[in-house]
Amino acid sequence: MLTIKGTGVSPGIKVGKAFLLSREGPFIPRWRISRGEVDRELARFERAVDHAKKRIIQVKDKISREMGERYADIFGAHLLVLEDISLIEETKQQVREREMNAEYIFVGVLERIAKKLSALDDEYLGGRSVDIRDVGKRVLSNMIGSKRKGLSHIKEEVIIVAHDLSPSDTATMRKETILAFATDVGGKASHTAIMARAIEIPAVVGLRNITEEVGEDDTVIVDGTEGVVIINPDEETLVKYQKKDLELKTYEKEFEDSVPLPAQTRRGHQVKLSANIEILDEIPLVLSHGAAGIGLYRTEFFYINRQKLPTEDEHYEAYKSIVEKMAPYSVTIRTFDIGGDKFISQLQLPEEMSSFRDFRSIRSYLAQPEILKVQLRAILRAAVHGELRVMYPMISRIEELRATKEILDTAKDELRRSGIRFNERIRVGAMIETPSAVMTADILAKEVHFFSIGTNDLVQYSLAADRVDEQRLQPYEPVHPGILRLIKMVIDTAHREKIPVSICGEMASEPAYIPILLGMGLDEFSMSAIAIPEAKRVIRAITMTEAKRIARKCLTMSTAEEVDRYAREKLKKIAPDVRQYYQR
Amino acid sequence: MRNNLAEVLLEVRNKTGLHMRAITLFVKQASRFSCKVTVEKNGEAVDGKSITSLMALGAEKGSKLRIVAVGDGAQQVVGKLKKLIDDKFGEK
Repeated sequence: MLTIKGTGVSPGIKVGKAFLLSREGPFIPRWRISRGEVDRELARFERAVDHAKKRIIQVKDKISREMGERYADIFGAHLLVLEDISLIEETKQQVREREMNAEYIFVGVLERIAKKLSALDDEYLGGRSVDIRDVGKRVLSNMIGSKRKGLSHIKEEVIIVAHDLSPSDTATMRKETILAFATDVGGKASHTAIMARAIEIPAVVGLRNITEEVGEDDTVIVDGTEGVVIINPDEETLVKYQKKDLELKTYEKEFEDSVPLPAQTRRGHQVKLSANIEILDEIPLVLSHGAAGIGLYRTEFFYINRQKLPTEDEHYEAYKSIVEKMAPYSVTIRTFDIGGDKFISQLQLPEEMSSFRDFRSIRSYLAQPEILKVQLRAILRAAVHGELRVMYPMISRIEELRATKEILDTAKDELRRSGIRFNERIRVGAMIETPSAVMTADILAKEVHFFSIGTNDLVQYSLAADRVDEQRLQPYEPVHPGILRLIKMVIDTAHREKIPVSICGEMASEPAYIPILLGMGLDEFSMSAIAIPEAKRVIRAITMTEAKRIARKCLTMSTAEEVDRYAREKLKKIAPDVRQYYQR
Repeated sequence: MRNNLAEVLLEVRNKTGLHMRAITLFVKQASRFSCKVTVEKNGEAVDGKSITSLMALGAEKGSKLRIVAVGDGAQQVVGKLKKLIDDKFGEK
């Protein structure tokens, strides 16, 4: 039995068999084939290799035309890799002998070569392992990407153990087979965490070396509430956790009573409690947890893991469906924010979005306005069916906001000219996620209808920290005096300019921090649906006068730790029954 | 039959050694012939038509290589490969 402590990012307890994901790159499915299937498997592999060669030749020609032959040399080498006997023939040989699927075998062979190169003393050649993996990725994407296999191959219920999960991993999972997540790295705002909460399964991240400690098919307990993972537990421990699981479920039940009640303080100050979502499947969960709308609808999922860009109609159908299901509440769509993900290099994006690997969100729009325009046209059309708002991520200059307005105006013009129905007066917001946006909030406020503070990014950019590597970041950093003041500044400025402000970062769902934000005058809290009942309980237990006093006091403190301690003490007094559903 | 076997001992003299560009040229040249080509360094022998094996060999400037070819065109391929290396792969 081995107990590893991490960060619990999605509550609940699950016991099950471990399913270990390979650490390098995207998830590689593994399955047995019968002897009779070997030829077909080899043909599938050859097609993928041929296809990759064709692509490389295209790229090579393009580069030599545009930049000169010298720059295309490396692609000549890539082609040779795909003809390499010790890679290609070796793979085929092993497929025949081991009777396993080709991508699994191929990755094994590829990794052995890449590791051998990495081990060389020669720094240059060692660095070429990147080239080998890159070529491998082309072949793999031909085998996996188009067929959307990946985790969809898992048949029985398992606990996923991985170094980290990328959107391309989770996008292919069949939710009903996944009991829980346990990963080496990540924090509350990482993709794994968001996904786990979205599909309501327990998750513990930041376990450092869980992938090394767990063996395939080991029995694992994942306690997302305490942030603990136990490998091969003894009988006594198993019983203890089963009991705890039951307690937790009873606690959750208690909160269900608050679902139909409004989110207002004891003396009737109303705020809006809305949900963050990523996929359509989350809507039932959002409604059952009493959310009054969607405060953040992330739309990156439309773009990842596919070869072609989504069409306007694809966007439109999804948005229309969400807005209709959420009526009479509002839905706020965030235009896609691709560069925000650390795993961008592993994602398969449509070819047309190549520049999105180099730029972050708003800057990429300006590089390729056409892609944003398609999304905006769909949003404009869907906004006819209900209250749909749009907001832009990562705004740090007014020029960026104006550029998006220009694209929006073009989209409107086009729709108007084609006689397609759309909402002329759609409400537009800016996400405040950078210190510069905070400092210029008064300027930005004059050109939008609302603000939404993305605290995850704001914390990261203000404190110069990496979002995924949370080891450098204390869990209570959102109440760093610097961050609190930035938030206060945004709210005050927005209210002076008469526009509402929401927060859609994880901070909004921390029960201890809700009184502070409430006291600073925040209008809307948007969070994972499962956190809403608890948040509502806090809001209903406090008065605005108390909240204001707490906020004022917190703003005088000098460290995040101090604020955090104080906020927790206060929470205990205000809402003693709120038992920190979320472990920090 | 003598024509079917050839070997040569030489030293890598270009500045960057057997790096990507050089290996690419080497493999392309070797692959024009149907015979088997082996490159040996410090007793480690690898397939001379395999780019990844040659990379893994890590032959830098000053490395002593033994190139062996067996099969049709063995003499020619060894001659061509020797010339490539002696010409420092066209590098200055």
